[in-house]
Amino acid sequence: MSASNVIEIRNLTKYYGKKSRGILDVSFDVMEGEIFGFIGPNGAGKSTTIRTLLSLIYPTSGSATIFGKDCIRFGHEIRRHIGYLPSEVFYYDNMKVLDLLKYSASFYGKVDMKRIEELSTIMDLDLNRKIDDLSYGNKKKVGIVQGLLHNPKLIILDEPTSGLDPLMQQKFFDLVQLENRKGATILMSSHILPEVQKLCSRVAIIKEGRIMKIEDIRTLRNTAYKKIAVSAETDLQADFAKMAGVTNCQRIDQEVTFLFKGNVNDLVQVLGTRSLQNLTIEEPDLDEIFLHYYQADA
Amino acid sequence: MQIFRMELWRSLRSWVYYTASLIAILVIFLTFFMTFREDAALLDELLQNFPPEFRAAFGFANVDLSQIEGYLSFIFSYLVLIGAVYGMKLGVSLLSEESRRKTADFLLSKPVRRDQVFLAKFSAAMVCVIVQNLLLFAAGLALIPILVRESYDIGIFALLSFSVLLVQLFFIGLGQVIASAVQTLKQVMPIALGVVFFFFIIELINQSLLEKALTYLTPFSYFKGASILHLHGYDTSYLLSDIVVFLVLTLLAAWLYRRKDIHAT
Repeated sequence: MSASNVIEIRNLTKYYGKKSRGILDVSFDVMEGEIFGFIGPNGAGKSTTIRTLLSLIYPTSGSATIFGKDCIRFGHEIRRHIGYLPSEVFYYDNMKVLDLLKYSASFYGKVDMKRIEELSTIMDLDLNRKIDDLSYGNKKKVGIVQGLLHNPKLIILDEPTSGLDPLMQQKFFDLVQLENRKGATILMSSHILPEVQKLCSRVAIIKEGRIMKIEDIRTLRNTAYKKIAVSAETDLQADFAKMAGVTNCQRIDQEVTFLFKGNVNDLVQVLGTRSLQNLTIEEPDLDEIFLHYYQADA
Repeated sequence: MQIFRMELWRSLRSWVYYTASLIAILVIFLTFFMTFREDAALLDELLQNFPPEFRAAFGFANVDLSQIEGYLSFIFSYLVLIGAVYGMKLGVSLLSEESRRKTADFLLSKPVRRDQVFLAKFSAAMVCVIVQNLLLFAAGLALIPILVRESYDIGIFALLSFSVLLVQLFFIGLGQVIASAVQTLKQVMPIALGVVFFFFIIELINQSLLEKALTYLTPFSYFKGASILHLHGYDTSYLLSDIVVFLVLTLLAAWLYRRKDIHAT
């Protein structure tokens, strides 16, 4: 392996049964010390890829190495240095949070109580409650603490923010960035573009089991589309449809929507000359971005 | 080691229920023995009126129920059945519990090999049944002299008592294979009961045929009371086939478990 790659995935393919597609020919590298985003809609194959890395499932073909070791053959050695937060967290219901965390820690050698307490304080997690009684968000916090308590060199997060309120999301992101500054490499899957944009330095985009693109986050931002909706008494569709950088221009009643890519000043200038009733500018959702990648690749 | 302890802890409750039930049934049957024996001749007479197939199927064939050893063999034909249900349940649930409760992700993303997980769970199952059988045997040793007040052959009792364990091994092996082969089992008990009664019915058919054609198919034929009383030991070929089936099924289950895909929910 090249010295700086923590994860190397080569032509990884997984079929469930004969026909059902998991992932097809997935290849990408994650470099040491980076926060790598893995983004795609639900069912695209993010979890399949991650579960293969952890050898929870076995690939149909292709291979993956972590820390330079084959992730199937040396799975148990590799996992010592991986912290994993699954997208949905389930624990032994009748245990107390503290007992579960101690059980988790026992797999990595000595239980470090100070570390458990430190992480629980950051995530505002009550150690004395029973897992049964926790809300989904609180279970997720248990997942975060148990994933980080052994100071892993590689942190794998599968849809980490689902179920967390915005305040906790922010604390969690801070925590992830702190671990990253301390040297941990992070692979994080998500279907929410802004959260990936916020954290990651590079992203792989996956759709229907295939990697569509691996891109630097800055490039992605520069090529990023804005989703614009304008309402006006006059029909503005014709005005915008012919503008450079505008795609998918549609009109429903008085509202015209389109995607815009390019210098936003150009757009603002045009908008400034019109009499508008309403204007919204949003991040397009993933499907709309993927639409663009589909068109680009077609 | 921590997985092993965890498994034991999680198995404890149902272990207590089944162990207590086995001992309770033994005790209840034993308390009836003294009254029962007085009427045994009557019962024998009554049973003579039934066809031999019927008597054989329900465990009354070739044993003298007025003798404590014969009576014990009758009790144990039912204790073996209950023990078998427990063995099957144990084998199935140990390997399917993590998938059903969705804790497999947690456990298997830890730095442990699948084989270690399997071994820990398997060992926990072994401890459960072995301790259960030792307690059942000890309960018999302590209570038979009190409840029966006559001398009996301890060797025969030991053989009868540990036939429960031997039949359990067969079903633990089978349960493990089912749990490893099926992706996620929604429920344990319907499968455990279904499979055990399937084998019990084979035994019933087998007995009423009065032929040995199917005996190797079902562990309920392996350690019959009448045969134990007659041989003063286990039939070696049945004992061997029981152990071999158990070992082969366990190895097969370990192999399947090692290759199993652990799916998200």
